[in-house]
Amino acid sequence: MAAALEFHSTTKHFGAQAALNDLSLTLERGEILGFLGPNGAGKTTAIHLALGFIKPTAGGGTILGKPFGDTATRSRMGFLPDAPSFFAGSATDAVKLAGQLNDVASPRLRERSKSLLADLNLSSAGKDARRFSRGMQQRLGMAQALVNDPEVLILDEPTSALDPPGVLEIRELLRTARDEGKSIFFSSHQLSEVEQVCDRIAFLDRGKLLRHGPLASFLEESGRVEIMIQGLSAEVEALQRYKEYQGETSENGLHFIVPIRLQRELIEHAWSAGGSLKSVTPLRRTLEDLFIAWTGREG
Amino acid sequence: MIKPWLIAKHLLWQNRWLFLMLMLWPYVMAAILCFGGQPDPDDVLWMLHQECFAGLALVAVTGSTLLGNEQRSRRIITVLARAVSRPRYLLSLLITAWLPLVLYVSGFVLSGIVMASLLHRSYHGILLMAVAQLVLGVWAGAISIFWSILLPQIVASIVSVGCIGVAVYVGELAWIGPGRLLLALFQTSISGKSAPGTTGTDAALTILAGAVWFTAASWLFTRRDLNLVID
Repeated sequence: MAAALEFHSTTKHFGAQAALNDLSLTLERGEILGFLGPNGAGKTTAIHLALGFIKPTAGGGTILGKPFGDTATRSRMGFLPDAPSFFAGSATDAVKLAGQLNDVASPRLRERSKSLLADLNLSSAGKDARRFSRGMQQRLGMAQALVNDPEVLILDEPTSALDPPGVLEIRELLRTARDEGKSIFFSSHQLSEVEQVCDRIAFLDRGKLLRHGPLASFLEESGRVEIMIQGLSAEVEALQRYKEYQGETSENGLHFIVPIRLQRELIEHAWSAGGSLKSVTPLRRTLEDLFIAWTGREG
Repeated sequence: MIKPWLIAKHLLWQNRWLFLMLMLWPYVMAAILCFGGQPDPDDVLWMLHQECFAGLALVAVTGSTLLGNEQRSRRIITVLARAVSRPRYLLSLLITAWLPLVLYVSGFVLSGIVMASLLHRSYHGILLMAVAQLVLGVWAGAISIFWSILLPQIVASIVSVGCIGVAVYVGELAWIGPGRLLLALFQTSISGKSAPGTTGTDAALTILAGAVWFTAASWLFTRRDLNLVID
């Protein structure tokens, strides 16, 4: 079975500027891939290439085994843009139009629109979708993306304008979608959100893919450990060499965050100086840490 | 044909007030001419010809601005992210540009018949002008959509209207097709006595010319990037 989405050495230049450089990436069936990167990293460019809105300068790719831009394949996909826009009309009109353009037959379309609008709390929304709040528009865009029961979902910043209950709704929808076997390409700035739902991540910066792989492997690989020691003063000579790793001293004792290679050595020095060990906690990295480490700048 | 119609329906609804205002134009002009009694036949003919050009300009300006508007508002994404090919999308723009002309021409015919009756003349020329406008509207719409792919909206509008003007000039050189049909449109009298006998052939050739422009536009649009602002 062909992968849900594949980029094959895809490059896109806008004039002299390379927006995307030799991107090779695969979204497997039934997984959620978090597509991360700072502003201007090339995330939206990659998504627009996949949807056929723009043409690659070099390379290419496939969705469900068909080349990017294939019209018929789009009826098996759902897309939520970062800022959805609508024609004049109600939420129901907007969802119906998306369904009709994706060849969803009438009785099923009616039923599906109704249930999606109810799930996304849009059943009693006003008459003109253009006047909805940004959060409501994002939920309506999500309903449009899901109306044809797609095999692949491409979501560009799906929770950026949502309030916490809205984020929870979308998170639940995404998990349900994955359980139903859908493949989800999830572009986001909201790293905590990506941590909550994604199986794998791909990290893009300045048009280049910096890292990709299972999310758990990145988060577990922190390589640091937090150590709390009691019964010693910070001035003890044996601990002076760890000064650069020392945090604030509290009533619980001395607090150190050290690389794993120094863990044993520090504990032994603390014991030999008469101290006692209160806790040793391996540190789990957050995506924020990785973001800063990989890009060399604050998110 | 269903998908282009669905899209066109939404686009038309989006701009409904503007189109309805334009539809009133022939009635307003007729009312001005008929104010105070029987109008002057030369004034009526001049006004009918002026309305014919305005009808074609309406299609050309609408056709050349639709694509830019949809790209700027990013509504085009809502449509092209679904199973809609680019030629079908362009067809929906052509329908959107052309259908208001049908409303406009209906006003042109009704107000024209009223004025012809006031002048005690046959209105066959008015019907002929109406049909010629509708046929030329397809051609003008295709031209304007072609230019809207390549040029910014205002420039595309000017170039499209310019193309219609050039075709009138070409018509004067007795070339066949849309040029001669345009010339016939602007030379036909109220009673239709001065209408050329080649109108049928010219109408068919005009539709063909429109199809050529539309095919060229589709070919071009399928190969180009959408003009979307990317963060």
